[in-house]
Amino acid sequence: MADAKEEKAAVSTGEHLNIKVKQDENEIVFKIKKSTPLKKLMNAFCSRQAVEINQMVFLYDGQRVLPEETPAQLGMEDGDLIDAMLHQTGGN
Amino acid sequence: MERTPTTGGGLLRGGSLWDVVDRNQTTETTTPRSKTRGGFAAALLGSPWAGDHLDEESVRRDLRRSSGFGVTPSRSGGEKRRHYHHYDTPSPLGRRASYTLGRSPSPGSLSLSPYSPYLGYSPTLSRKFPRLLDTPVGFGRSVSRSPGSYPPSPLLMAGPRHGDVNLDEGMAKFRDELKRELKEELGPEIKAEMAEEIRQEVLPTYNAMLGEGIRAARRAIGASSSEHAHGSGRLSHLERERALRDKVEGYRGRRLLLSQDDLRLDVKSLASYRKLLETVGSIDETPFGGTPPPLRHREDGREAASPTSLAKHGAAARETKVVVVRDSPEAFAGTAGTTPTSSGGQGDFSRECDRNIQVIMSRRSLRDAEEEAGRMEQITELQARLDSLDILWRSKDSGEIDAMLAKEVPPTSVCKKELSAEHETMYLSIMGSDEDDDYAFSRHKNLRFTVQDAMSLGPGEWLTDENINFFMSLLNDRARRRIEQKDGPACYFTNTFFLNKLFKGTRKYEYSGVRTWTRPKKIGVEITKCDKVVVPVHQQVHWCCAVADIKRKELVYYDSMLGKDQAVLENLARWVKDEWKDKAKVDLDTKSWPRKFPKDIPTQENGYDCGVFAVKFAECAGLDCEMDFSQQDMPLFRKQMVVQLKEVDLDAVDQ
Repeated sequence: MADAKEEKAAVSTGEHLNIKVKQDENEIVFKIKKSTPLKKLMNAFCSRQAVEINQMVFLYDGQRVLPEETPAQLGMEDGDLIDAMLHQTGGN
Repeated sequence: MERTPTTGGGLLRGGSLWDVVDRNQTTETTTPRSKTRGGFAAALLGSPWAGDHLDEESVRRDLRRSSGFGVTPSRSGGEKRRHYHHYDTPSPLGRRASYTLGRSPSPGSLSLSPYSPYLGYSPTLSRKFPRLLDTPVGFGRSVSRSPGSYPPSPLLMAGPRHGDVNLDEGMAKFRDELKRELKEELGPEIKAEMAEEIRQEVLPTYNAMLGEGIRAARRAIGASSSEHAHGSGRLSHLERERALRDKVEGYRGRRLLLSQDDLRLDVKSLASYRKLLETVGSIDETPFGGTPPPLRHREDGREAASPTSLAKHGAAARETKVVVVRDSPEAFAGTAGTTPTSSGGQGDFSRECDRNIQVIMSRRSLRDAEEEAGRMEQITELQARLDSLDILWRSKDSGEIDAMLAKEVPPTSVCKKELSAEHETMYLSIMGSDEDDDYAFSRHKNLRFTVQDAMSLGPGEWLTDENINFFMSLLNDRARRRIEQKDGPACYFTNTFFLNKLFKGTRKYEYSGVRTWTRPKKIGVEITKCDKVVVPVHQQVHWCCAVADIKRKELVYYDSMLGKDQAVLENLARWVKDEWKDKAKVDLDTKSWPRKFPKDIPTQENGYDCGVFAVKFAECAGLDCEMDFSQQDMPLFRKQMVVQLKEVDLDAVDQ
């Protein structure tokens, strides 16, 4: 599985993906290399939305995305969606 | 400043703790940082936990150069939490403290500095870890009293002006107060703990004595009936005993000693076993010292019959005991335990012996010839007894223990066990960690348990999505294990963002948003085979828990504040319908399922524990058990959570 992924990544290095990042109703589309860490995309989104990066949580299919992960590692495809969520807290 | 109880704001160049407290609680102004300078030393001197462990010299020194510890913004302070401004401060005693200034997240709830005297003040911790007395035990804001009820600092009362501060008097007063408080609060606790320790030590002591008893018994048998020796392949009692002890240890290690009652029962049975063995084993011993003459030298009955010559003839006493054991083991068992070692019981024992010897002598005159046969009978009987004990142990070994070892008993309720000493230490080291806020103690999947997350599990803190998601992930792990073992209800726990994505974010229901979230390869279970889906609910500043019970066909909303949110359940019902239609091609009539808002659940009595309630509701739903916890358990649950998240194992605290 991992091998297959790496192979795939190797094959498609240099290939660009269109990844949507959506927070509530705001949606921004980013073009990103498959091998680029998603940190770049996250930073871009946060500066566009004027929020600190550590106020946001990024989810791909409901699973947390780490900044150092790449689209290739996550098996992302063109047009996939990343959800941006604000951190939550609560007490009463 | 006008609101502070001090008589002079310039007392210590920066006002006092009470300034911070008041400002924190009542105002929304930005914090003049310089005002807090010097406040900590003053606060420490004026706080009840400035006790024996406080180094007076260092505090004085710090007071003299109070500008030496100002307030600096933390590396990530005020970034992650929207509501707070965090500052990290080197405390006068070199420990880090994180405290919050500025706008309180909930004006209704109290929001105080960790340096407040009573915040999270834990006598147990302080006693166990005296160093903690100079750390901010509250680890953040916490409220157990309203600030108005704090005793005014004698230091502050005593020192109206900067030059007039009488440190010695203030310190002495506070030390006395602290001592009194420690005594009052800790007295019963220490007692309880001592009782616990004694109980803990009973088992090893018994084991040791047991070993001796067995050895003695074996010697007795081996010495006097070498011709009756059993097969050499037979496991010695000592070995068996050791094996058993190992087993018991392993048994405890595997959390199979489910309750302390079990342990007590074991101790009890060990005690009775010991008594029995002592009865048997003491045959080998001469109660009054000296070497027993060999058996065949004891034809001279008259000498043995004389009570005064008992001391010289331990063998007679030994004979007596054998007879007693045979004739009435139960009657003898009571005295046997004390006889061999206790000198106090010697008098009684001698009388007992005398009487028995007389009995024996009367018999003996008639039955000299039977003696040897009797002895052999005796030995056989003892052997039989040991064999039966053997069987007892073996049955215990193979029967109970193995059966229990074979199958781990799944928890049937939320664990309310206090942390072990090891975990207590772990907890303290986590909460007192000097690492960066972003430092991760543990990781699970893509989730991290960081210093900051640990801080929000401190007393009185609000839980964050990170805490809850990590916990939900661990619950999912546990649920997966149980699904594999086909044990208990199959459950899936979503993350805290599920409902936000489903309908809250855009204010309209959108199944497509979460359709891919529950793919089996993503979550590791087939959601449509689950009996329950548990969803943590975030309500702006509150945490709740909703459960879609597919098996019972109902939707339940657990709110520790007994609130009702119909919309959550309606949307959840709709999602269940869509999800099952999409993934299992099954049409569930969720519209007709009852929506329940139970009122007979544990409720929250403060303004910060709802997150803990929510995860415990989720855990109980997952275990399908009674929600038998209450507000009082929350501090423990918080500590447990820290350990569980660090260990990445929900069952870590269950040992």
